[in-house]
Amino acid sequence: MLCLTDVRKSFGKTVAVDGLSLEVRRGEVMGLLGPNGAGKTTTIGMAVGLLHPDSGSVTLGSTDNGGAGKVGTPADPAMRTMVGVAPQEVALYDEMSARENLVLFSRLHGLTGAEARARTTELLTEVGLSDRAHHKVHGFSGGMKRRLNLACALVAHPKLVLLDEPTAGVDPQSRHAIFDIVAKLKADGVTVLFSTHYMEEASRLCDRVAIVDHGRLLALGTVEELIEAHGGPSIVAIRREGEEAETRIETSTPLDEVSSAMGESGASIAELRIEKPDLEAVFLHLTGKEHRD
Amino acid sequence: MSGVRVILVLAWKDLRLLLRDKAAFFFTAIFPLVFGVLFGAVFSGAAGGDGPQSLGVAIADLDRTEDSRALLDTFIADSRLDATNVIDAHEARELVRKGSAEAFIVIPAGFADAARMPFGGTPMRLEIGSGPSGRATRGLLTGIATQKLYQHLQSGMVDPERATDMLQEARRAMAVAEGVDAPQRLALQGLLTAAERAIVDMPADDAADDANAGGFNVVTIEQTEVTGDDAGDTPEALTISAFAITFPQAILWAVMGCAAGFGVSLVTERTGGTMTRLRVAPIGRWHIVLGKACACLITTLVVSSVLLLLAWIAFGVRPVAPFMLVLAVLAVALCFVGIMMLLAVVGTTEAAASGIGWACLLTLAMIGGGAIPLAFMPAWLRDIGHISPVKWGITAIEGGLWRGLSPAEMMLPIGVLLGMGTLSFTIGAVVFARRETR
Repeated sequence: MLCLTDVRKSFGKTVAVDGLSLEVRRGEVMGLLGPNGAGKTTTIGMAVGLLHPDSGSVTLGSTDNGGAGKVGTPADPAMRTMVGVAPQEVALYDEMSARENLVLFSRLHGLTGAEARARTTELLTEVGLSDRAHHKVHGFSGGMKRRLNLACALVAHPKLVLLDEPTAGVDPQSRHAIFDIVAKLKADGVTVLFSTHYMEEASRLCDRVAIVDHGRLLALGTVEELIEAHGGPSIVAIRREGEEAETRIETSTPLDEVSSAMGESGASIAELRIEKPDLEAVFLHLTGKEHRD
Repeated sequence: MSGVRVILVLAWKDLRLLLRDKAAFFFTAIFPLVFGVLFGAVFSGAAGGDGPQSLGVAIADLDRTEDSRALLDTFIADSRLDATNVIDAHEARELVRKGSAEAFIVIPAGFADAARMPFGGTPMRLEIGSGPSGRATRGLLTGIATQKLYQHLQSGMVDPERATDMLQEARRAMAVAEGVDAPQRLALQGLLTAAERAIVDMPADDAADDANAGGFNVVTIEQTEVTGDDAGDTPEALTISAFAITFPQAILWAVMGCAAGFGVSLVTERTGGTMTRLRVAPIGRWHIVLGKACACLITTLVVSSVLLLLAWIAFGVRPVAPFMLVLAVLAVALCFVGIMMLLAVVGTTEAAASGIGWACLLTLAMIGGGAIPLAFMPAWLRDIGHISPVKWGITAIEGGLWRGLSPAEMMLPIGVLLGMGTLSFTIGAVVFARRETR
C-alpha cells in the first residue's frame, strides 16, 4: 500500500532521512517508532507528498486484486484521494466549528454537499464530539482537538491512514478513544502507519513496528520478533530471607533458572521475579540512552 | 470535484473566516467607511457650521473708530472667515500661537485718519500674521483684506459729504506740501476741482446704488470647479462633493485592508498547520492560491461596491462614467489581489507578514495620495507617487466617479494597475510554490 525505496531527504546540512526503505502492507497497522529527530515526521511528509525526497522513490497504492488497483506517487492528487493524514500539529480552523471543519475537508476530498454532511455526522459520533459539533474549535481541549484532527483524516474513507504522533499530549480518555478508532480502522481493513514514541501504543496496536533513528531503519518486525532479535536476555531477580539486596541473573531460559534457584534454597527465598525484555528494551538497545532534545 | 468548485469551496471558507475575524473585518470594512465619511464630512464642512473650510481669524481693532468698526464688521460678515473679535494684538497673537486661530489681523490706531485721507500720503495699514507654516494662509488673508480695504475706500468715495471732506483735506495737504512745482500744483488743483464738481453733480440714487454695489472691481475672477462634465458637452453643472474625493481614498484603504488581511491569512495557514491539511487533500497547489485570490477579489469588489453605493445614496456622489468606474474598481481589485499574494510571501510568521505588509502599504498610501490628496504634495513626491498602485487606483476610480475620463484616458491607470497586479501575483505565487515544494 505504501512503499518507500531508499529515500533520502536533507534540510541544508542536516540529513533527516538517510536511505530508508519501508513497505507498509495492505490492511496492516505499522508503528513508526523512533526518538525525537529520528526522521519520522519527514518520512510521513514524503509518504503523502508534502516533501519531495532528494533521492529514492515513494509509491502509493496496491496492485492486489489481480493487479486491478492503482499505483502512483503521492504527488498525484488522484492518488491522494486514498490517503488520510492527521499531522502531528493539530491542523484545524480554530474560528470554525467542528462540523464546519469536517464538511470543508470532506468537500475538498471530493464529497458532495449531502455526502459531506452525512459523513460529518458519522465521524462526529465516532470521535465523541456530536454534542460539540457546532462549537468553535478554539474552545476545545487538547484531547478534543486531537480527536477532531483524526476525524478530518478519515473524511473520505481512506485506504491508507497516516497518523503522526496522534496521542501526543492528550488525556487518557482521549488516548483510549484514539486507540479504539485505530482498532476499528484495522478491523475495517484500512492500512495505518502511525508514528509514536510510546511503546505501549506500538505494542498494543501494531502488527509490525519499524524502529528508525538518524533517518535510518534500524529494525522491522512484529513486537515478538523484535524482542527476540534485539531484546536481550531475561532477568531473574531473587532476594533471599535475611538479605537486603537481590541477586539478578541474566538468562535466556528464565524458567530453568527459577527451578534451579528453588531447588537450591526454595524455603529461604523471600522474593522472586522474572523480568522479560519488552519493546522499550529493544528501543533503548537500538537507539541508545542518550538524550535527544 | 472540479477545479472551479474547489476554488469556490476554499474561497467560501476564507470569507467565513474573515467575517469571524474582528480585526480583519474592521480594517477591511469599517475603517475605510469611517475614513470616507469622516474626512468627507471634514472637507465638505458638514462637520458643523461653516466648518474648517472657513479660515479662523482673530481680529483686534486698536483704532476703535466708526471706520475701523465698519471694516471689522465686513470681516466678521465674510463667510470665508471664522472671525473672532479680540481686545488687543497680544491676544490675537496668543490665539494663533495656541492654535485657536489660524491667522490674525490687527487694525492699528490711526486707521480712520488714513482712511479719510486716501490722497494724503499716509496709506491705510493692516497687520496680518499667521503661524510659521501659514504662508498660504497669509497670502489668502492678504487678498481678502485688500479687497475689504478697497471696498471701504470706495464706500467713502461714493458718500458726497465724506468725499468732499476727503478732497478738501487733500487740497489743504497739497497747499503745504513741499517739492511740488507750480505747473504740478495747478494741474492737481484742476483735478480736485473737477472731482468736487462731479460729486456735486452726482445724483443721490446713483451714489446709494454704488455704495451697496459691494466693491469697485477692476478685475473679476470667477471660480469654477472642473468636473467630468467638462470633458463633454453636458450642460448641467455638477459640483464635486468632498465625498467624491474621500471615497476613492476609502476604497483604496479597503482594498489595502483586504490585501493585508488575506496575505496574512495565507501565512496563518502555514503556521497554523492547515496548509498541511490542504496540501494533502487531493487538490493542486494552484487551487489553494486561487481560492485565496478568489476570496480576496470577492471581498474587495463587495466592499468597494458598498462604499460606492453608500457614497451615492447618503452623500449624492453619482458616477459620471459608470462603466469606466466598474472597470476601475475591477482593475484595482485585481491589482491588490496580486499584491496580497506578494504580501503572503514577504514574511514567514504572521507578525512579520503583517508588520512588513502594513509598512509597505502605508508607504504606498502616503506617496500615492491615499492619506493626503496628491494635489497637496510637493512635485517631487507626486513624481515618486507614480510607483504606488494607490495613486493609479485613486486616479482610475476618480476617472469614473467625477473626472469623466474617456476609455483612452482610462487605459493608462487601468493598464498600470493590471501590470502591477500581474507582476506581484506572479512573483508571490512562484515564491509560494517554491516554498511549498521542498
